[in-house]
Amino acid sequence: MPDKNDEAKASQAAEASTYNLLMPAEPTPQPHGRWTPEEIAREEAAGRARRAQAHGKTPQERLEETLRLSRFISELRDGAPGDVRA
Amino acid sequence: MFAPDDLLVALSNARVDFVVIGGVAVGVHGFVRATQDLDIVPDPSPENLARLARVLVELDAQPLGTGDFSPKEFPNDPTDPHQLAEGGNFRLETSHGPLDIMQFLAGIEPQPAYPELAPKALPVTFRDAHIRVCGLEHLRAMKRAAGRPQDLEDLRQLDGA
Repeated sequence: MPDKNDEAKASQAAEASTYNLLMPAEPTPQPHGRWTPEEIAREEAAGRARRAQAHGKTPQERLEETLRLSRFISELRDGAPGDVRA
Repeated sequence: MFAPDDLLVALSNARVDFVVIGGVAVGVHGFVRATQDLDIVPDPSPENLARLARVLVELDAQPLGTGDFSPKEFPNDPTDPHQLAEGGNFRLETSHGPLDIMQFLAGIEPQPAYPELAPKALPVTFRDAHIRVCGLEHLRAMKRAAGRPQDLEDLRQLDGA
């Protein structure tokens, strides 16, 4: 008699199989080159949204966020095995 | 590792009067981004520079960008209040990371910069410390004068804010 673990595994396998059917066999190459006007517009809209979000905060919150982010980036940089720009 | 929060608290605990400029100020004024150093403009009074010199010793501050000099041979010693009082800019590495002490600032008139910046600075409380951050118009003036790619991007973001 199958136990609960077997049933869960079977269900996961069925789910994965359905999901995989929807996946292309090969990755689709994406176009390279300059950003399209639509991408630029999306980026600028995201920038405006971020600025609006930042302005909804107090100077104290923005100071804390800047310090936290700077510390986090420094920790990431220290944890990188080599030159992170490579 | 760069710990700008600890650096700010250490300066504040040592009762050093200063105005924050640079990337941290850019964040406070609305463009939150990571920065690689803490830039401050200290009050040039002898008492304040003595307090600053003392905390720099505690933070094991060493000059960066000393060219052919070793840090020990470098003629500008930031832990000497008299040398600080000469009004130069010091780029330092401390136990909490990079700290730039700026006393001469392009884009700010008259010099020294502190008496010009301090009255228009924005007071911000951080971990019970009262920090002063330079005003937006002064920040813009400094960014325009520096004119590096990051400064221009900061200006663009601040202007859009």
